[in-house]
Amino acid sequence: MTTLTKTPSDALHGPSSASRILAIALMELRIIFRNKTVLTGAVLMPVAMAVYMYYVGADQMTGPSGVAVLVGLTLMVVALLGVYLTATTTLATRRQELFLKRLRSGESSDTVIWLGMLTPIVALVAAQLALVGVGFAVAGVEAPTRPLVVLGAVFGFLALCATAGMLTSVFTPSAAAAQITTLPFFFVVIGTFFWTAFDDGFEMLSRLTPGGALQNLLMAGWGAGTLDASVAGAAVVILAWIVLPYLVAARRFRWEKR
Amino acid sequence: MTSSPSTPTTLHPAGRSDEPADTIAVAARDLRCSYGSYEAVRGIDLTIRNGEFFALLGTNGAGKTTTMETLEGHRAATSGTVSVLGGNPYRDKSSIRPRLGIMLQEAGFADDLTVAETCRLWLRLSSPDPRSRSREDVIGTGLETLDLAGKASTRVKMLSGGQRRRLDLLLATANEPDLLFLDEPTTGLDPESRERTWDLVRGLNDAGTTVVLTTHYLEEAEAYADRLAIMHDGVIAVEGTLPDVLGREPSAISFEVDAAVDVLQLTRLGLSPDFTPTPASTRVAVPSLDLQQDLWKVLSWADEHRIRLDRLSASEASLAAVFRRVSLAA
Repeated sequence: MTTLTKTPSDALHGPSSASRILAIALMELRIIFRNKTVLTGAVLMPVAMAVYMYYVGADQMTGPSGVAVLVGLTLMVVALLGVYLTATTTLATRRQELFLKRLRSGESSDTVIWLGMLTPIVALVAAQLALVGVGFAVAGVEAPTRPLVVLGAVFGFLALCATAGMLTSVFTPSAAAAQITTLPFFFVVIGTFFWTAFDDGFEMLSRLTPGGALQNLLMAGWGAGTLDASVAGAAVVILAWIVLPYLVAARRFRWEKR
Repeated sequence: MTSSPSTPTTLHPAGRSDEPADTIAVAARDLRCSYGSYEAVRGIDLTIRNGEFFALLGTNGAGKTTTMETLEGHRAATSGTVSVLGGNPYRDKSSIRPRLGIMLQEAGFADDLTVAETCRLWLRLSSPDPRSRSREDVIGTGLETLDLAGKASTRVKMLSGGQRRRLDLLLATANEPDLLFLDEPTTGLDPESRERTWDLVRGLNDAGTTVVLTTHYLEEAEAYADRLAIMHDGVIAVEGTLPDVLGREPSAISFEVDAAVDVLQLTRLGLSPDFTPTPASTRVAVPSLDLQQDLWKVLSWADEHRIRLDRLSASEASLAAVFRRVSLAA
């Protein structure tokens, strides 16, 4: 037993934040692969939806803007189901199980716990999207002219879905309730994605929405739009939609059930 | 130790506040914790010395768990000061937590992990073992000690309530913490498991770990705690060593007499000033701070007046009696 006057330099060095995040992430992955319901929701369903999107839209959505819309719709469906819904459900479930409280009673910081819970969900969907991307390429879907912009849009949107899921989990008491509490964000994202296509005088406003910003980036990525300040603006908007939900969720996050 | 002015009994161990800081594991001054407009902890002072085994008792809703969770750093105090191992448990979590073991009253596991995987995850998140044992050594010893070795490959969801509680204890004690918080650790355990639990906790305490315990089993506090406090309605009503606390609590003599006996005669025997017999009552309960002397007086009075004392009983003060009195106090 050590003395009470132990200074930080005397203390044993604990694991780094990165190794703690990795430990929690691997645990979460293990749980996902052990639970058939979660596995279906997080892995099979998004891929199945991507295949469906291709068969429904590939013929009609041709040319740079058509492909950008097809990819955008696919990305939204896969990320909303695979990241946003899964993140909300996972955090609500772990809270209900009091496992979040358990993790918080240890040495890990709040940020480490959140990152540990969300990283595998994002990584899993990123891997699925890579697979979908390969599938689209094999099927002859036109490749982006600015792949880095597309890559930024994809990872930005995945992060956005993760922090939005974190925020939605604050208002989600259980996994079952997530089916309801996630609906508004689904509609907002998909609705605003299409909103930007209409010339209704609210173009500026529509560009500030998550769906609108995503579409702007993808259009630029496929060369359907110019690489100008509006693209940088769209990137900032996506970043804001990542950071703001995170800040609100971090402040309001509930670690245990009521 | 202080509480609100309305508290019935408060003992102040002399000189506590003058002690050097390095002998104090936990100190709270005028600690208050609120949930919205509801004040769960209403200004408590608490000092727990290094190496001490301290029991925090109280009725349901007395504020014990809120106090514990504040000391553990799970929540910030609404007002007042808290120091745990020399730091603020909420603000200085990163430096204090590696030295704490926390067994919450209610905390879950990832049900789809096995017992061994749960232990491994926990140790991967924790600072290294102070004795430089490998993770597998720590897990193996812990599972053996708490009779969970046979369950290492079992998924947590298949464990009984008692087994989950023991796993909980294993995680809290795995790295031999300097300060161990135990919130009702034996609830739901069978007698053998309780014994194993206390063997482990006593062993840690003997080796220098400070233990802060909450329990509803008063006999556990009586058996193991160096010092205890009883909380009621958000304040500490009683605090001290067991002999201190019991020394302030009256013993009891009780008996029944025939309706014809004038029980008011008992007031002339010089019994406790708190004793006021009800006229014409047949049932008499005498509080006593000197049980032997007062019992002798009562028996002499009965003998002298040839009065038969039915259902006579004399009982020493007990923690249960103190607890009852505190919980009944308005």
